[in-house]
Amino acid sequence: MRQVWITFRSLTHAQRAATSLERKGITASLTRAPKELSLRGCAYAVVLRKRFGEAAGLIGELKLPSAQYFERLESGEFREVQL
Amino acid sequence: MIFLDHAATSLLKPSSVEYAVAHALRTMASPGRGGYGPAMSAANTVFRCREQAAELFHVPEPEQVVFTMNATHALNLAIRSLACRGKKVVVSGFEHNAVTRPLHALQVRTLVAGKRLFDRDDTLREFSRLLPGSSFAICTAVSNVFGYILPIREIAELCRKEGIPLIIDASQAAGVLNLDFQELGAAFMAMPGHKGLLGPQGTGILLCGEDCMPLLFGGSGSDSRSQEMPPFLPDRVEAGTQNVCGIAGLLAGLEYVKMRTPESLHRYECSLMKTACSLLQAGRCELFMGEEGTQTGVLSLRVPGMDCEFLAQSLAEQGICVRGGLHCAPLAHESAGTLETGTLRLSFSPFLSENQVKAACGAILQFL
Repeated sequence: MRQVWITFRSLTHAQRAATSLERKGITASLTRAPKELSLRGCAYAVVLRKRFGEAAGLIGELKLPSAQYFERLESGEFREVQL
Repeated sequence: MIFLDHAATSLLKPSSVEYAVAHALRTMASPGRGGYGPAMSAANTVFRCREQAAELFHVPEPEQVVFTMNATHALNLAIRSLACRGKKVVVSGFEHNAVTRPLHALQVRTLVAGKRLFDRDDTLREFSRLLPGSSFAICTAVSNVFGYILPIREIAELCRKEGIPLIIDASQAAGVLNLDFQELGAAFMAMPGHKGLLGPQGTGILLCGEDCMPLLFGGSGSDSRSQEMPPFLPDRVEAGTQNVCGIAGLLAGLEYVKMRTPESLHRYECSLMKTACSLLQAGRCELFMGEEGTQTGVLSLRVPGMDCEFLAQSLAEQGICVRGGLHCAPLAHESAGTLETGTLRLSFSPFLSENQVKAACGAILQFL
């Protein structure tokens, strides 16, 4: 199943994104970002399994800084994507 | 015991606060320091508390809610952030040492606006006169000594018109007055978590409308490779492990305040104060009372010929908890002409009964 990981430098920003998505009925789980997505050290990710475009639109409206989107490939690797 | 020192701290709290603190102590680790259950549970609690505070005070985004150790810490953050832009400040005549001491330490030139107790017109006139040309302004929403409700909305409007950033000290107002941070347009608003918001000691909140400079530097759980503090709020000014148990309790306190509403809590505390006033007026107490709508549930008094500290101590020996002295606000006492004598302060809690107030007043009257 396709997975999109949205990373944030701030835990609070990630929480706001996850909460906003959940309130719109979009399932979003919050987790620590893997090291390869945390180039500045310690970041957080919101993981989505569906409704990616809708979620990206909503997060765009929140104007949260530093949101980056990655698709998790079947190999386990991540590839940055634009949604 | 009859606790009449609610303006210092809310010893009497909703049971939900006690439960939340105990639950956090048993189950929560450090937010932002791991992805495991207890860390995420702590992170969730801290975020919910930010959201509740943002909602109660009409703050646009939860990240503008910064947790501090107390209101003093919050005020120091705010003052240091603005003092680096200019060294001339206007303050009200009723500020606490939490405002005046940081200004003194930073060698900021301080102009005092409005020293007439319960005279909102005078306060406003003096702010209007002194604001032009100043770098920033600080105003308490309510005097911690006299319960005087300053015209904060009008002062905020003056500041906005002059383009002068305003710091509001909401230490005695949060939880009893409706404060709309967005409408006020203040640069910062500081408050303790343990007074009107009914949380535990060791908690405070700074609402940020502008960029805030760190006072403490250290781990934030973000941008860890950099030796600079992160550029974004709240991480920028929340270095080190947070007081998760305190914040959990504060969340329960905020929920309680929202359920009861600040207006109803204010009304109840004022009704207790009126009971006290009517009883004490019968004696030879000098009461510091404002007109209707200019005072919260905080009452200062003097008994001619009697030392206020002696009276407070004598009452303490009977299990009545009041505060005598200067209440860490010499400027407010200077303004009211009580600097040399101090006052005895009674401050009323939502968990106090009318009978307890009557009993305390009876004990005071025995000293007259």
